[in-house]
Order: sequence, then C-alpha cells, then structure tokens
Amino acid sequence: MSYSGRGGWSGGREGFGWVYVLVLLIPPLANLMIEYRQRLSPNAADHDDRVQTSAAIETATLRQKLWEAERELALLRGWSQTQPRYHPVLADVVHRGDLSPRRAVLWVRGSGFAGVDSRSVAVHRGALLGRVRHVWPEQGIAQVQSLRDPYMRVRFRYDKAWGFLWGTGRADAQGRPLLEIRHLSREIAFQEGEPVYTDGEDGFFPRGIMIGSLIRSAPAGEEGAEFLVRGEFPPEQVSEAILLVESARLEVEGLAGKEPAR
Amino acid sequence: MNPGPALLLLLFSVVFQATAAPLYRAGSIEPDFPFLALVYLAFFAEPVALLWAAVLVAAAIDCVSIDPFGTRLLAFPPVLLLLNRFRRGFVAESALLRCGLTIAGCVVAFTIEGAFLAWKDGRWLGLGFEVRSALYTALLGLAVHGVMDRGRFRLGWTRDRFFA
Repeated sequence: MSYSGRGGWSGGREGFGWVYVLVLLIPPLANLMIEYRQRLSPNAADHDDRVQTSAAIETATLRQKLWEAERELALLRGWSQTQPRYHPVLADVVHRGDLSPRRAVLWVRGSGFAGVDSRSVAVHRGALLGRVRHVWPEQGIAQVQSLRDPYMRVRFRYDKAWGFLWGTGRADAQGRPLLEIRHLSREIAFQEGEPVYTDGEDGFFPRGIMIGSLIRSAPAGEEGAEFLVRGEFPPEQVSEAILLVESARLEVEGLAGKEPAR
Repeated sequence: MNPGPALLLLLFSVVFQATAAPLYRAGSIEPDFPFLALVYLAFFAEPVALLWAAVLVAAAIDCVSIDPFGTRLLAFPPVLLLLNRFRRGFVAESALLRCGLTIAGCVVAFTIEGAFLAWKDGRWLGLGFEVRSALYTALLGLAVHGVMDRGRFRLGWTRDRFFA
C-alpha cells in the first residue's frame, strides 16, 4: 500500500495491474476446466450431433403425427379439442449469456423463424431445453429461457399427478439443470430415474415432451432428502435445438400472406 | 470527464457481460459487469452524466434481457447516485474503501432487482442469493476496478476533477 497524494491510499494499483488481470482470469479458467471434465465424463452428452439431429427431427415429426392422430381420434369419439399441433424448426445454439446475471438463457439462430413466438419451445433430442422468450424473426435469432433459469416454471405430469417444476439455477456435476417439484396435485410415490413429461395444460409447453428424470437431492433415507427433476442435457453443451412452433399460427400467417393487397 | 472513454467502457462492459459472463459463473451466481463499470463511473463522474449513463445502460439491458422492463431502471440510478453522493476523494482512491462501497451498492441494487422480480415473476430468490451475488460481484470488482485504474490517470479521471 502506498500513499497516492492528497488523502488517498492507492494500494500501489499501477504496479498490481497484472495481478488484477490474473485474478480476473481465474474464474473463466476454472470454469473451462470444469466444462472440459464434464465433456470427458462418460455421463456427458454426446456431441456428435449431425446424425442425432436427423433422428431428433424424425422423432419430433412422429410426435407431431401422433398428436394429430390423437386429436382426430378424440374428435371422432366426440371428446373436446385436445392439444395443438406443432411444426419443428431446426436451429443452431449460440452460447451467449443474458445481460441479466441472474438469468440462464440460450441463443438460437436459424434460417427462417416464421411463426416462432413466445409460445414456442426448444427441444434437443426429444427433451425440453426451454421456452422462447424473445425472437427477432428477420434476423433469425431467438432467446430461449433454459431449464437452468431460476425463474423457469413448467407444468409437468407424472403418472396421475401433475405439478410445477421450478428452476433452481443449480446444476449437477455434469452441468444438467436441477428443478424443484412444487404444487403437486396429489400425493404420489416417485421412482428415482423415472422420466417426467410436460403436461401441456399450462398454455406454454406442448404435452408429452420429456423434461428430465427424477433424482434424490440426497441418498435415500437421509434426512431432508427430496425428489428433484434433473434435465437431460447441460444447456452449455448443446449445439443444436428444435423449436416447436404451433402449426395453427403458421397456417394463419400463411393465409394472411396469400390475401391480396388492398 | 471525457464522455468518449466512459461510453466505450460501458459498451465494452455490456458486450463482455453477454459474451464472457457465463465463464464467471460460480454455482448459480454470475457477476454484473455493467453495474461494476457504472460503479466505477460513480466514483469519478459528475452526478448528471452518471444519471444519464445509468438510465441508458439500465434501459438498454432491460430491453434485451428476459427480465421485465424496469428491473434495472428501478435499481441502478438511485443506488449509483447514492454511491456518487457518499464517495469522497479518499474513498474513490482507496481500493479497500471503494470495495466496501461497491459491496454495499451491489447488495442494495441486487435486492431491489430481486424484489422487483419477485413482484413481476412471482419468485423471491432470497436475500442470501442477493448477498452472495453482491459479494462475488464486488470481489471481482476489486480486480476490475484495479485494471481500469491503469488507464484512468491517462484519461484525466482524477478525484480532483469534479469533486473538491
């Protein structure tokens, strides 16, 4: 510490400049090392996505057909309208943060984001990644609130119970997001490792998309152990996503486009 | 104070937040680099210039972020003006004292943001979360402000420029 003149202790900052730079380099280097170890981990997601992506598109298409078939069946049986249909849009994930430090988002970009809006969701290999919050269709850029976001909420269904999953902002050792179970509609015996799916009744998420698997927050039998839901993929390691856009919206936009100019 | 370097500093801090902040994530918390840049300006800038900078940066971030509009607009300007009011020459030039002031500013600003989000998004993450975020941000702020000091004297940002 050195006295810098009139009434101030400068701490010799001019001389410590490089020390400060080194201090600023410690957290990114530590995080890069952790991410490298996660990628080497046998439980980490496979990054060779090219083949997997076509399978994911096929899965999304089949799921859409299944929804359509279910809807037709329900209409034939005289039931009420069930779930909307969705159209898959392929997008690349750009790993940039949100300007708010308390948020966890993914940026995705693609060639055409027609119809993508805040009711669209992002999936990767059939599992939920998050929900679109902002979209710039002309630029082909969208901002997706990921499951890691502490303000994330998803209505889920497990067996005969439904409830809400709340983001915690935390992740497991492999970087997969952890979600808390809230507002359960009825008491139910959870089975560790069982998948949990979206309920589709919250107005945001389509029905039947896998959110993650049930895990215990602590080993079974320990006091305070509770069930959490762990997302399928670390958002930071996903390179491609599929946005599910409501087909009805695309149809409306298509019809509007065909109208003659007045 | 020359506004050019100040604008560049704020622009750089916003870009840095968007590109590099995830690398600074520790558990569930991330530092807030634009706020650190504004705190630094609060030590040396005139109150009116600081207010403009705070409002512009807060509004710009609120527009792009998924946080509701007003989260930062409500938190940044009053806290920064208070820091600007409380700081004195000997505080602005002392690494430790301004670190303390940065911690206090971060705690208050982040708590206001958290309370606003609790109102708009229906979830209060807890005072512990806000304090942890503030401590982490201020800890990094010590180094960030130290790095900024290297160029400050060349730009003429001294405590005697605007404050007696």
